[in-house]
Order: sequence, then structure tokens, then C-alpha cells
Amino acid sequence: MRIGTLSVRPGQRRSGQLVLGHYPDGPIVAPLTVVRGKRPGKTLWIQGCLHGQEVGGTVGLIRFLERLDPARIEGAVIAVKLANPLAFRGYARNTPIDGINLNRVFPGDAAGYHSQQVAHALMSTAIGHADALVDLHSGGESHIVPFYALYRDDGSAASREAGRLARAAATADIWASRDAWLDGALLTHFTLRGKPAVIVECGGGGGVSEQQVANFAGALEGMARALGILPGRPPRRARYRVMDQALLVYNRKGGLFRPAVEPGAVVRKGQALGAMLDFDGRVVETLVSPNGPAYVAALPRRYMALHSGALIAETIRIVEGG
Amino acid sequence: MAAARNFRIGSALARPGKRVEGELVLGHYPDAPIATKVTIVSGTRPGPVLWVQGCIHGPEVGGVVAMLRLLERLDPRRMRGSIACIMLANPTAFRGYSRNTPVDTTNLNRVFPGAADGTHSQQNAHVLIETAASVADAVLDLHSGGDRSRVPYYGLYWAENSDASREAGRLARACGTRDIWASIDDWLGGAMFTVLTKRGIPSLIVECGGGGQVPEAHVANFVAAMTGVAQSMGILPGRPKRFARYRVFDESALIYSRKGGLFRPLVEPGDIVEKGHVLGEIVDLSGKVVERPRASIGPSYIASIRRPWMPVYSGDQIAECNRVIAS
Repeated sequence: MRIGTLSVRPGQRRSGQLVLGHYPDGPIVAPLTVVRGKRPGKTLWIQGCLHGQEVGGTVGLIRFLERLDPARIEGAVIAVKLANPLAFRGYARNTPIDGINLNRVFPGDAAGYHSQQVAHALMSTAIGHADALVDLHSGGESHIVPFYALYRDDGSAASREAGRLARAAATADIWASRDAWLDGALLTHFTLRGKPAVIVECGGGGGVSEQQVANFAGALEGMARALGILPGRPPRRARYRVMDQALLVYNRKGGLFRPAVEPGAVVRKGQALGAMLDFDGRVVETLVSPNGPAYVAALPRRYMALHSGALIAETIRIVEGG
Repeated sequence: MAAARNFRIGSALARPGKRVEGELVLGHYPDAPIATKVTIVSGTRPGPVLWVQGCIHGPEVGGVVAMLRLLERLDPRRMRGSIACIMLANPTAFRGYSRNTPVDTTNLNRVFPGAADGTHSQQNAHVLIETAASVADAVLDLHSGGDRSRVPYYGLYWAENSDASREAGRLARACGTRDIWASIDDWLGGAMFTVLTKRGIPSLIVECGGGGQVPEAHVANFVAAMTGVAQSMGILPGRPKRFARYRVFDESALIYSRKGGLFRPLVEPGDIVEKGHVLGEIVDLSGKVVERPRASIGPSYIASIRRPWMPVYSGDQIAECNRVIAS
């Protein structure tokens, strides 16, 4: 297998670099590790830090790789630890050089602007090498998300396989998404090209706890088992909670946000999600769920200072297993 | 100045027995004034003035939440003198959600006393300190570790041989924590509390929390600190909580990384460690530990530590290790 700076033979673990763009004075590279089993099998692409602040997934990926033994696996794991190196270095959600949310511009364009070129490099390399893709995310600095798996539900065989992998990600919470605003996401285009892709979300709010790291590592292990890369059965739940169609809630007043529910809560339509406090300590706005019963998939952290028009919540309609 | 009854902070004119609000202009946008909200609650009886401020560093919002909480509870009929809450000591840093002032990338709490004809941050500093000095009998500046570091709950004052410093030390011991930094650090020479204390106005910082989090327990700590200081000054009734023993530190050694990576702390804020104790590990993206920053003095108090798994550059401030002189 040849990828980036690496040439990897069966039974080898190699680390190198994948070029995703260029500084004025040199290449912009992602750290890359490939672990290839002695025996053939599926190839899984795993990436973290597509948004620069979402480092929990990268730490979980490092943890997962530490335990991966080339002698015990079938197929291969390709790990891209920083899918957006500039955003990681700038510690920003969006790519600093053009202010773009990289996960809205896939499949990208080799002749496009900077973020489009990064998207193109990721997409074309991944689709050329991998049978399945996992993209690790969190709520970043300002928001907290529960532990859930997200895939594109477009009715295709690839999407059904993605749904199967999502259910092996060590969480019972599954977002089977048909949301149009995720049309430019990497997982959407990977699935359109006929290969399964899953996002795993967990944590954020500026913190990375060891439990969250363990969740990411556990999700990766489960999906690697489901693909036959690792031996053993993937974790299965007796019941899953399945969601679709997120309604995004934005505030109209500025202030300090005080949450009324926890991320991962199930709320009624009209139930309060939190309040904006002004500098007299007054509640100037109460934000309610427009959806119900709905899963609160993102929420600003406690007392986050917010402008008007900030994302207050993703409320996703529960379609199964409320 | 102790009986100041009708003093003014910006457009807020203090009145006995009343809660008043207004704005203090600290600078100017290209198109409008840069102002902070000011709320003053005055007792029906005269007494000293406590100036409390928050968010001199933009992400340190815990103190602001606590001021709102305290203001809900204040009853002018039970107060002597006034508590003035200056909500945002650095409004553009709050709006930009950044530690340093965005317009000139300056750490505002290093440029006091500032200058009326200086840089943007110097002008902001000048207005704050001159206004505070004209009305306040004591100043309390609320801080935290912000987004990227975590700090324990402690009081900090400038330790020198003066009445103002001794009074600041007394107030610091009324902040509801037994951890006291009696600073003799040169690098805090440009901090507001240092310059005010040297000018004869007892001033202190209370630190608590950070790491991107503001749990209710931290809000309660800040409220306890403001309440204890106001009780010590006789503004609020009751006695502040006092401890039989305090842990006191006098000088801070700042620990910087030499490598980059993801930081995993191995100590908690407020731990006391020996010289050479490993504070944490910097892990590179292959999972290897590339550096183990250590305490350079001991026994020392961990007054600040980068939060778990924070990406760090070389030369990042990993920790503050404060020399313990009493425990």
C-alpha cells in the first residue's frame, strides 16, 4: 500500500505524512499512521480534528492505535490524525486562512480555494484507499455534544452498511441523517460514492475527559470489529435511539447562556433548553425546542458568552426508540 | 473618602439606599464608545466603597456571573457604604472572547497604570485605575484560568511593607479560601492590584476555575469572596469566614514547554508538589511522551495548570508553581 510518504507491507506499522496543501514556504501535512495486518481484509480510514478544536477524537485515535497489533488484524487502518492541520494549529473550528468550515465544502475541488483543495485531497485519498471512513468530532470549545454516531441515510447499500457500523460504535444514540445542511459533509459524499462513512461525536465544551477519550477509542474498536479488521464481536445494544432531521435553534439576544437541560436529553416540543442572561441578571430570552420528542445533540456550555444568532441547540426528531 | 455617598462611576450616580445602573466609557470604537455596564448598590447608611470588576481577560466570565448573583441578594437596608460592580473591565476582550485585548493583542493586566495618551490598552487601563482610585476604598478583581488553564480558588495581593498591603492581606484572608498568594513577583508589577496597592488602596485578585468551565460551585466561590471582603470592610453585616491556618505562597515560577503536542496534566490545581515533580506529559501525535515539564521550585503550589489534552506550542505556559512559605 502506498499512501502519502508511506509504503506499507503486510504486518507493518508505519508513520509518515499526507500532504493536504501548502504554506507559502512548504507543505501543509497531516500526521499519518498506517497499520496493516498480515492477512488481507477491509481498510478503514479514521480521521480527527477536521475542526481544529475537536482534539478528543485525535486523542482517542492515538489510544486506539496503541492497542492495534498488526499481527492480530485483517486488512488495514489508515489514521489521519489532523484532517485540518491549519485549523488545529490555529485552534479554530474553521480553517484560519479562508474562514471556511471544511466539513461543508466536500467533495472539494483540486482547482478551488484553499479549503476546497484540502477537502479534495482528503476525499480523493480516502476514497482511493479505504472501504469505510470514520470522522471524529466533538462540540469543540463553545458547545457540548453527547456521545452518538451519525451517518447519511440515503437508502443506498453504502448507507445501510454505514448504519450497521454506527450501531457498532459503542453508543445507543444514532443519527440517521437526511438533513440537507449536511450535503457538503465528507460522510455524505463518501456514502454517495458507494462507501460507508460514520461521524462519531462526543464531548467538547472546552474539556476532554478520559471518559470521552475512552468513548472514541471504544467506538473505533467496535466499528473495526464490525468490519472484521479486529477479531471479536462488535458491541450491540438491545435498543437504539434513532434520530433524523435536526432543527437548529439560534438565539436573538446576546448574553450569558444558562442551560436548562443536558446534552443528550430528550425534550418535548416547546420545552425550555436554556436562557440568555443579560448584565442585570435578567432572563432576556428563553430558548425552547422547536422539535419533539427530540434529542438535544449540541448545547453551548454553561455561561458561555454568546452574540445573537449563535447556535443554541441541535434538536433532532426521535424516530425510533425514544 | 469613607463616607462617599454620592460618588459617580461613569453615568452611574450612587445614591443611598438605591441600586443604580450606568455605563463607564473605557475607550472608543471607530463608530461608538466602548463601555462597560456599572451597577452600584448603596446602603441606607454611609460606609466604605468596594469596587469589584470582572473580565479584564475576556474568557474569565465566572466572576461576572457571580456579580449578577450577588446583586440579586444585596439589600441596601442591611448595608453600610456601597458595592460597585464593573461588569466588563475589558469589553472588547469579552466580545472577542480572548484573553488579550483584540485591537492591540495586549494583556491589559500588565500595563497598569496605563496612560491617557498611550496605546488602546494603556488608555483602557488608565480610565479603570483612575476611576477606581477616585471612588474605592478597596478593589477586588475577579479572574479564572480562562479557557485553556485551570486554577484553584485563591486570593492574591501585593505583599509590601505598607498599610494598604496589610489591609489587602486581611481582605484576602476573608475570601472564603485558605490559599493566599502574597506576591512579590516582578512580573505582576503592571497588574492593577499591584499599582493600586502601591498607591495606598488595598486591592486583590480572586482566582477560581477556568479550563472553559463555569460550574455553579465556582460561581458560589466568587460570591463567597465578594461577601467575605464586604463583611471585612463592614459593608455587609456578619463576619467573614476565617480559617485557623492559611496556606501562603510568595513567588511564582512559570513553567514553559519546550516541545509541542497535547498536554496531559498529572497534577491538579491546588496540589502542593516538591521540586522536580512531574507536572504532566506532552504527547506527540504518535502517542509518544516528548516532554515531562517539572516543578522548578518546591514545595510549590500549583496555581495554574493547562487543561487536559490542550494542544500546546513550545513556550506555552504549562503551569505556575508558587513557592510555599506557610502551610
